[in-house]
Amino acid sequence: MSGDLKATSPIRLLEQLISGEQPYSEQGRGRRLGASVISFLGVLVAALVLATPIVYLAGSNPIEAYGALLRGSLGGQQPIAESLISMTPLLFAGLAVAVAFQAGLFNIGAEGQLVMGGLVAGWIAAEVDVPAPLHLVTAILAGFVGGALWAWIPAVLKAWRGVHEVITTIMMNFVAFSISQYLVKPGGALVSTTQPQATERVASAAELPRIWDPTRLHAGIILALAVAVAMWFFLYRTPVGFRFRMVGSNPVAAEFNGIATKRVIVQSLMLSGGLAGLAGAVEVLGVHRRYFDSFSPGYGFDSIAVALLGALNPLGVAAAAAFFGMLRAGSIRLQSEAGLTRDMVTVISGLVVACVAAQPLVHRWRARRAADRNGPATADPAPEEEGLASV
Amino acid sequence: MNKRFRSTAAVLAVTALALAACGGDDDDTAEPADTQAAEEPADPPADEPAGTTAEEPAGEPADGDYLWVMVTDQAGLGDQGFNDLAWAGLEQAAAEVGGEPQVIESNEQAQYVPNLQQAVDSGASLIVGVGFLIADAVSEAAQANPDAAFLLIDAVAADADGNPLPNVRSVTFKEHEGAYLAGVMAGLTTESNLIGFVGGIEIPPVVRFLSGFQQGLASVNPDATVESAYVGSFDDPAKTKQLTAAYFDDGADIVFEVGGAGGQGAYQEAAERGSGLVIGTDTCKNQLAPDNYLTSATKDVAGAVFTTAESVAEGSFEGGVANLGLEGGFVGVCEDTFGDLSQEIQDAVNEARDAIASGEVTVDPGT
Repeated sequence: MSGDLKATSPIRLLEQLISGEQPYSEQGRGRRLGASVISFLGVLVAALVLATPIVYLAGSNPIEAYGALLRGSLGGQQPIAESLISMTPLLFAGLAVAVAFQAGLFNIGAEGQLVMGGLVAGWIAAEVDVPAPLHLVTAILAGFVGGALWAWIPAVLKAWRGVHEVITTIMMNFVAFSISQYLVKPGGALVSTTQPQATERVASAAELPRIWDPTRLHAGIILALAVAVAMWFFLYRTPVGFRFRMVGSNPVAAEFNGIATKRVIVQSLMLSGGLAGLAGAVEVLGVHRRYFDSFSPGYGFDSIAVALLGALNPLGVAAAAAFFGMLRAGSIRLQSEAGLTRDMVTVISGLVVACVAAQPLVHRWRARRAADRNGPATADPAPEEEGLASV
Repeated sequence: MNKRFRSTAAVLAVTALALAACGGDDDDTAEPADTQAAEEPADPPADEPAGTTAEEPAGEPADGDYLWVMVTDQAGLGDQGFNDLAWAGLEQAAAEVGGEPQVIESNEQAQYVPNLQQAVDSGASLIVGVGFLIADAVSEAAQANPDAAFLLIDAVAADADGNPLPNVRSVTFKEHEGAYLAGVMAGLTTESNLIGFVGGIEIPPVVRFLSGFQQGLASVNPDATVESAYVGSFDDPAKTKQLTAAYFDDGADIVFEVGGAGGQGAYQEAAERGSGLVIGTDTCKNQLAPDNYLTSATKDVAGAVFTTAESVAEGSFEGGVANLGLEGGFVGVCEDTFGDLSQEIQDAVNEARDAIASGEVTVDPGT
């Protein structure tokens, strides 16, 4: 199916994108980009349309509500800054999930890796003496290493023992939460003397600088966007990235072609964990300026939706993170101006995920309709149904 | 292979979201009290153009034109704990002083500062931040908006040098004093001399409840022991229920729950068994298990919020730190059911109350 440029439907093209299949023509690339943009926007519009009756039933005027959402996310310097702040951890964590997906792994443990990254970064930044010019860099790198090492255990178990990474990464989440809680409980090793359930404030040299006065936007967003571009280059323009995607699309063929799949599994899951760790580190050093046990509301879980909406392409992930960031920033005015509860934002993000998840179904339906029209000659949909049945 | 993987991924993604939603994290799913916010006539956006900050200085609006705003922590309204209590205080302020109450619930810790800023921008007369996790954010917002008036519950807002801020009233409670009285009651009530303590998370206010309770218990019944366990969150009724059941199974006849919204699990367990007594926190909770309720170690967050709102209306608002205890009745035990207790217990509790008031007994907060 790869390189099948007759498949011009956006959904089919999105699927090619998700599976890392690359049509080998420049002309195809342009059309593919256009199609994925359409598909991206289509999902957003569908989710917002589906949310409209719910907004109405919750007792608010949908136009007013979406107006408040828009004003709260884009209506001025402060809202734009808040959107970018909310976008930052989602972008890092979304990239983490996407990289693992590209290599065929479902890293559901981004949340735990993020917690460990934030914890290690917060600890280095607050407690460890590092010369001032290096303190920030050390703390950020430590966050990456913390997340990567947390993903190392599931990676090794997957590569050499075949233990499914979904199980192990979920389990590692709970271990990470408990370690964090233990370290900052009263009398814990890292707890602050003035602030319960948190570490001491980070040293001022280790704070991510604010970059847009008078808002609290911090340099983390620049770092996040740079990492997104780097990840795109890595996945689509380097041999190692190609190996990742090859293992993701067909591990047997990859092995057969001499790729060390075990090594790719470990590398990709650790890179994924490291990116998630960066999400935690940047959030701690940029926003909270100390590690709070409860600093993450589940960025690692939300990032799965971000990665899928972004079709696993790092640049698409950036666009998806921007959308979810706007949604979160806008939720503040949704409450104070439209009188809706904060849960409406959760509803809308849930609908986005549902719409993304529904795409293969739409595709299957279209394929069947095409098959009905063309007669029995097109036998494409049959194996797909098998695939669904086996789930 | 690939397609199967994709379908699996999609299904797992949905499952993951469901897990995230119902997992042990701090976000609540269903919140009965949210309807209050929805029913509240929302501020017409027309009088508040986007992006502008309130020009009029907060604190001196026209008569009855007050806007009382609270910013919750992640537990939000419906926690049957201090978020609800602070909201009750604001509703009381709206009813007696005038004006509108409004709530902004925080989904995540990163939203504390913008939520507080939003409250300032909408011209709030008093902005109430609830919970110690919001302390840093209140300090930041208060320093950025020196003309706005803030009230911080359960923590102290300070600047970088540790000095209290002039526009923030920080209120903490002597939970241990109220819990001491509950301990006296438990000590005179227990027959098995084993009492279970089920806390949400081991944080200072929870530790103060436990510490005061143990001292009160020991003062009247040195043979009784308290065993403690923590749920790990404030919103997990199922686990609270399990821990409560475990204590009752081990022979405890009283369980003291300091479990926040999750605490209701303790009442469910006692009501289902039809035996055992529960001591609650913050407010009277006798309606949750009328036949299995002993008392609550109360904490009058609503009163603290109301009196501060009143001071704003009277123009006598002052920043600074207040540590409220038995004096003034800001902590204590449930008054609604107090009269139902035996005369012996009532006398013992009143005696302990007087002893604390006179300084004869000092309760150690344990933190």
